[in-house]
Amino acid sequence: MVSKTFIPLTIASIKMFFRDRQALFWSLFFPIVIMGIFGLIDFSRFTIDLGIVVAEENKLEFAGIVEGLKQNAAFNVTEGNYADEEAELIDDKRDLILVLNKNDEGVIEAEALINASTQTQSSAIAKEIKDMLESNILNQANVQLPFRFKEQIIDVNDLTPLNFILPGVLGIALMNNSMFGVAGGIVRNRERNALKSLFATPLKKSDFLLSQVITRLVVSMMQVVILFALPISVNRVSGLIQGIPPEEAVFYFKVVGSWFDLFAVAVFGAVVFINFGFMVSALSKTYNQAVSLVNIVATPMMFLSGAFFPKEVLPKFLQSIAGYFPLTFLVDGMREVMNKGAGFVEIEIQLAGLLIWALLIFVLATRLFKWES
Amino acid sequence: MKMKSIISVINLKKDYGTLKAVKGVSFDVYKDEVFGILGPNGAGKTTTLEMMEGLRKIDSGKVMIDGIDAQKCPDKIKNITGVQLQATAVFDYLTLAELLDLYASFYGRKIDSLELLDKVDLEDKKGFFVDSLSGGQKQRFSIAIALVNDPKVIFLDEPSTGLDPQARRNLWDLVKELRLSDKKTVVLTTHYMDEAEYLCDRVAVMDHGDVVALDTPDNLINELLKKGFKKKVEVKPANLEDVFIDLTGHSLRE
Repeated sequence: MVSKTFIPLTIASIKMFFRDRQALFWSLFFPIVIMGIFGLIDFSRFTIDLGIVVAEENKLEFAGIVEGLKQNAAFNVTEGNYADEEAELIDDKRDLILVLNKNDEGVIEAEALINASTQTQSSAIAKEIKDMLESNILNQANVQLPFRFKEQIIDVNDLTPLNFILPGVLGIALMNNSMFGVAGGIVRNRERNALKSLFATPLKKSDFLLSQVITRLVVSMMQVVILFALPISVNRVSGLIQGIPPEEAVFYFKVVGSWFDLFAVAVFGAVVFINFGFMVSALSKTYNQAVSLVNIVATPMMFLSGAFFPKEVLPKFLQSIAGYFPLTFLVDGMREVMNKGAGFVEIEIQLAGLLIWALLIFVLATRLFKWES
Repeated sequence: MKMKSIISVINLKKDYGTLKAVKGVSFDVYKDEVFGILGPNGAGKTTTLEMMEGLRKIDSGKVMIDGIDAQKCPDKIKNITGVQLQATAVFDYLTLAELLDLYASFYGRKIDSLELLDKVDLEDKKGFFVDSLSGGQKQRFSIAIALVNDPKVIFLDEPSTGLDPQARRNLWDLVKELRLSDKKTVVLTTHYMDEAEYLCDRVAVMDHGDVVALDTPDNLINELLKKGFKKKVEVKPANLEDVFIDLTGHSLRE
């Protein structure tokens, strides 16, 4: 069925990919930008805007506490009077306001105003401040608690923000390129009769399909290599310039599992989405329809599959639906390999999920596909 | 003079559901002639042509080109024919030279793409994409595509539709040249009668899926005159197109 003719056609379609700016943007530029942004966000510097209100006559009394809070890097502290600080909070410029007062009976009264928009975080902080105040008082009273509490954060596998976002961005890039590349390539050329003119020559349809699949796989492999090689080389260069080890560089990430497994999962994901591309081209008459259909399929996956942010923040019912998305299987699979060192056996659920999607969509697409519009 | 036939179309039929698009069409195309299939839109011209090209399944009947059965050996037919389609139908993002090389590769051939571009007067556009060409240039390029395998027969589907008079005449010159200097047999469809009269050695007139007349343009006109036909207005020895060409010249605007 297949002959050597597909080779020049494959080379030509790879050329076409690199000349199509829109395809280049979504397949390479966009994922690189997202990765760059996430790499540059310093997650350790997320601060709480804390307003402190202390009456003039009590300033001395609470000076120690205020100073302590100011020195804590987690807080960005401002001091002011009650009305001003409250106005700032309403204006969303404070997350939390702490009002410290001493009443006539000498009892310390602390009041926390919590911004609803950052409630979860700010409430926890307020509670911590309460604990801090209590232990301060206890200390002053020289009372010993019957236990001591020690806190230690253990950084498993030395992971970085890029360890989270890189598999996510890679999954999205593979999805966009494979689905959009195949669907766009077929539908646009069917619409402009280019497929008809191809088949007026002795070119076989199977050769054409093979050239499409190979083109998308080649581009997918380039995506994997570029998205991993780029941050590594930026780290090397910036490390050399600043004289720091790569572990401290901005785009540092760690691959705990095997590079080969990671690569294999990525390519398998690309194959699944190539099938989706054929499905889209089977369902769309025009290029614009294909673009909308790709967006309808890709956009919910992009935001719900946990590629950009953890699925756990979604409502339970959405989480359970999103758990079956092919992008979820792909991203989870890559994360397990990259961040936990999983092998194929440990990610058999993800691999099985991807395989089922691939078979299902392949069967549907071959039934619905038409060469002519 | 006895003409040698290169294409035989025998009782060709095609239905689309209940619509009988082609209802038993038969004709022969002679070697080295320009053969026109005329008819209004929906007469079955393109369907007939596509069945001859091996692009569309034949419901019943037979097409033989140079002794090869189009239904049984579509690939062999494709090797000895060149097809120019109605719209400019090639990939975007490939240059003209790259496209010609690519199409040649489908036939397992290596060609001098510059020479071919020169033939259709596009050698200075070799590095351009098709979408940046004018209408006439696109049409000439699609003829170049149809020539990559040095075919015996070239099919042109409505080659001058949408072209301005200068580009049209330029295209006609190219078709004449294919017939005279390259000794190609050309089969074309058109709904412009002046084009058929100027280019075609013989024409088949189709309507509602049937061939209603087949002869040289001269004979067909004489037949009509014999029946006592007279034009209502006396024809002037020039028409508005002659005026247009006189005013704006023959040179191409692209």
